[in-house]
Amino acid sequence: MKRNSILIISALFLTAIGLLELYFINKSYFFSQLSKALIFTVSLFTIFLFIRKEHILNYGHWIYYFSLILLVIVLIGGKGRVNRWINLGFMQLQPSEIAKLGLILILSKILSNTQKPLKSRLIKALGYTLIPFILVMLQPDLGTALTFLFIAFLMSWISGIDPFITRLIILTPITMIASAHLLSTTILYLTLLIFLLISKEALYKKVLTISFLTAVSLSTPFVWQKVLKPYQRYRLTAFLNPEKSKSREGWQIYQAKIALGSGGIFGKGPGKGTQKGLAFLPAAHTDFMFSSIGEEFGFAGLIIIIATFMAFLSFLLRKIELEEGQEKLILTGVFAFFFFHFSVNVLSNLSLLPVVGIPLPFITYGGSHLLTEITTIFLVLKLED
Amino acid sequence: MSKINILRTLLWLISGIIVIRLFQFQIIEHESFLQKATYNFLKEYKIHAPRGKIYDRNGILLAYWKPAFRLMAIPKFLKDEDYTTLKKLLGDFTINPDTLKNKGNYVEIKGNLSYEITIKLLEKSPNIKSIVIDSDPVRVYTPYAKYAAHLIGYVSEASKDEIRKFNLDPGDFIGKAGVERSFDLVLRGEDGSRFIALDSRGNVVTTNPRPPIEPIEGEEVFLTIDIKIQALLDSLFENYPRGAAFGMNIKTGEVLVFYSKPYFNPESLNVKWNYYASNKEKPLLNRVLQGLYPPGSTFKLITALIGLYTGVISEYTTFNCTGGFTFGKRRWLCWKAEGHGLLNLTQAIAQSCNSYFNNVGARIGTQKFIETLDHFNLPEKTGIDLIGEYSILIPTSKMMKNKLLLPSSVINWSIGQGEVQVTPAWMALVTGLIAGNGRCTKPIVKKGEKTEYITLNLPLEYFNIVKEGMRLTVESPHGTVGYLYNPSYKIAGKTGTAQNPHGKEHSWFTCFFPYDDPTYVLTVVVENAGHGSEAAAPIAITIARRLLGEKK
Repeated sequence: MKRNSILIISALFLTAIGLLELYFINKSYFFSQLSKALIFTVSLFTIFLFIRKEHILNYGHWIYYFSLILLVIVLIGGKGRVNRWINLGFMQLQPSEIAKLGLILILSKILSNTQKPLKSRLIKALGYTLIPFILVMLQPDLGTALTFLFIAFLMSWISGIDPFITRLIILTPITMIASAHLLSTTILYLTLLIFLLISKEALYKKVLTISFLTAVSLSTPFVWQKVLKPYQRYRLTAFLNPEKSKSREGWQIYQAKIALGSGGIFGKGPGKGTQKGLAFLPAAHTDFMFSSIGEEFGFAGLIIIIATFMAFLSFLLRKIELEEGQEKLILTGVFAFFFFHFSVNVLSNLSLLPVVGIPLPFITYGGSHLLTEITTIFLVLKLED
Repeated sequence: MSKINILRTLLWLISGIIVIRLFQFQIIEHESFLQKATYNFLKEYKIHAPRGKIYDRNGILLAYWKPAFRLMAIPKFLKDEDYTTLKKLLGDFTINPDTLKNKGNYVEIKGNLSYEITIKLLEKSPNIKSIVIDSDPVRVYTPYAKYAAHLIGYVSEASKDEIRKFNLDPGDFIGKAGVERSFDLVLRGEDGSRFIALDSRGNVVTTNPRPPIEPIEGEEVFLTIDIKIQALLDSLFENYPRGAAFGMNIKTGEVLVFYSKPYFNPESLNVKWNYYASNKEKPLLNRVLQGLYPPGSTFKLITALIGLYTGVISEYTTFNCTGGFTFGKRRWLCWKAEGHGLLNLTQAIAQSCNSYFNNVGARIGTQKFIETLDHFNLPEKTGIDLIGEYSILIPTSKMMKNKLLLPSSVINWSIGQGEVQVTPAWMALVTGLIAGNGRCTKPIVKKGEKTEYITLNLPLEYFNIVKEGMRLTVESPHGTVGYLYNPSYKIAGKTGTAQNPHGKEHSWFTCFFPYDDPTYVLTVVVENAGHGSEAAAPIAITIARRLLGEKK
């Protein structure tokens, strides 16, 4: 139990930092987030008093079904272009956040069912992942949908997927990105050919690899041009050259860069950030909390935050190493969840990835992800029992 | 490698990338981002600097500035009730809120507010957060300024060309003529800035995010002229609608008299622009520097020098004036129909005998006349420290290029007619060269300006001969202005009566004084006023006596 303190302390520290920064951005956001954090913590603490580890392992997957219902409600009840939230009065609930937890729990159950052959477990897991994936893509929310895929992939990988399939899965996004330019595509295929010539794999696997990736390469430009709308394309590429982008997204990314860069080593001081203070960064409390903190607390402050996340995630990895079966899979899902959120959010703040609306765990303003995150912590602690 | 270690490596890899990127943004590129952050959210609005004051040589104020209050507003923040309040205060305030919003973030609602309305607005302004009473300095001229209107010039909104050339902003004022133009950079001062904080969409967040940078008032300029003398001149010109006068100290170059009539009132110029611009009397023309007149007999001073220099005459050369001079088939009449009789050079200057100088011209010859003027190398302009001076026209080879030259051309030139046109200022400079024995200081209108000499290298005796003739003009009973002689003022001059296509002759008088220690030159032209001795000379001599009186 003592070692679990790393988990609790890092979570508390990150939440506190988030609240502190929110306080400087907007007092009403601060009070709203503070009250949510307190209510969630107290109520979840109470709930978990009555929950035992067996409950989680056996009935946890009901959260998945519950979240699917909510995702359908969101789609049916939605009116605008983007339908992500259910109004609960005191907060806007984002069912996709709950679905992440639900997915982890149901996949852990499916994949740990060793009575069935691995292949059928994996196929079933894929099916259970695709349902929320599609529902969320319809909202549309690319970032969350990708989180589902990442969680599912990591959990499947730990369960033991064929290296051949793993390779295909990893190469798919790489091939998609490479297809943006003829040169990168050429380099990719040359490398792949050399690799395949050396390897002693069965011929059909080599042929399959090449033909699958060729299909990806050829279909990507088609999807890019015909399926995606111009604003979606714009959104996905805005981070590459935010200075020149006239769009809201590009402008925001650029402002986030300025906020970060102008912070310097020790920052402008708490509450002294000019970027968010003058509403240059309207999404300071959501997508760009990291940049906002960077402006006020500087390089030094961000290093502490990154170190905290690393301690938190390393601790989870250590626990995965020690656990077996369903618990190991739940922990893997939890690691995937936090790792994906942390990496994607921070990298998009640094103009290295497109901004896809992934929150920075514990720090970003918003109740839904905080609810999932706090639940996850309690869950991990409960697995110790 | 175990799967967990692969994930561990991945975690370290991503964290490493993040730290490197942070290092790049926050440490390597910090400075440039910091600058961007500062200039990002502050929108700068110009506060015009007050223009420097202009005084005459004795410290009499000619031009200054006063604050003109204007009501600025941030339309985005104006509420409906604010419009009602403003309407009540301003009276005829009929601006549509929507048009105002389209004008920008910080717009002028009403300029040039009266003092009473300004006070009222200032009382109300704490209630209306989005209005700012801004003061914009405007140029004001004292009633004296009109006596030296062309010298002082005027200011007006910068044209598109000027905006580009001088890096100004639309709405900036710039000197358009005279001292206002020529010393614009001195008078201009340094504009300040007011700041307004904007958010990413360009909405105003606060109207005073940092203290404004106060503008720096332009430097004061002390002119070399004496405005009281200008006023005196104006009264002397009372009966003459058009003319000009220019006087200077040939030792220091300081311009003491700079008068052009008709003049405009700098104070109301921008308002009455169309009236001034279309007026047939050309009140906007700076006759001192831009008025090109045939010099008439005043040019005989130069003819005399050419004659002496070429050796065709000496001090003692005499001609008999019979009331005219025949060259080829034509006869040029002397202004004195009965003839001057036998005259030497100094007498000819004093009595301004045309026939004498026609003879000199004939002896010199057209070609030699041009060659000698080339050798004299007289400046085409005085080189005064004002922009806009016109070049004169005299028979040098450069200026006579492409002109039809006849043997008889010189007969006209010798008496300042034909292809000869000079400005009053230039004539004064030539008078200065003669008075100063070939050395005259380039004129300056701003006190303390650096200046230099203009020289005319001729033997001293030539100058003395010509100066003696000029002294006799005033002091000899036969001199053209002998009738004005007063022994207490040592003035030497030359009259001119210039024929011109616009009517009665232009009346010229150019003089220097005191003749035993030449210090001042003064040239007066009165357009279409007849003989030099009748209009220009009395004015010039009155002013000269005033200047000499002050010297004592």
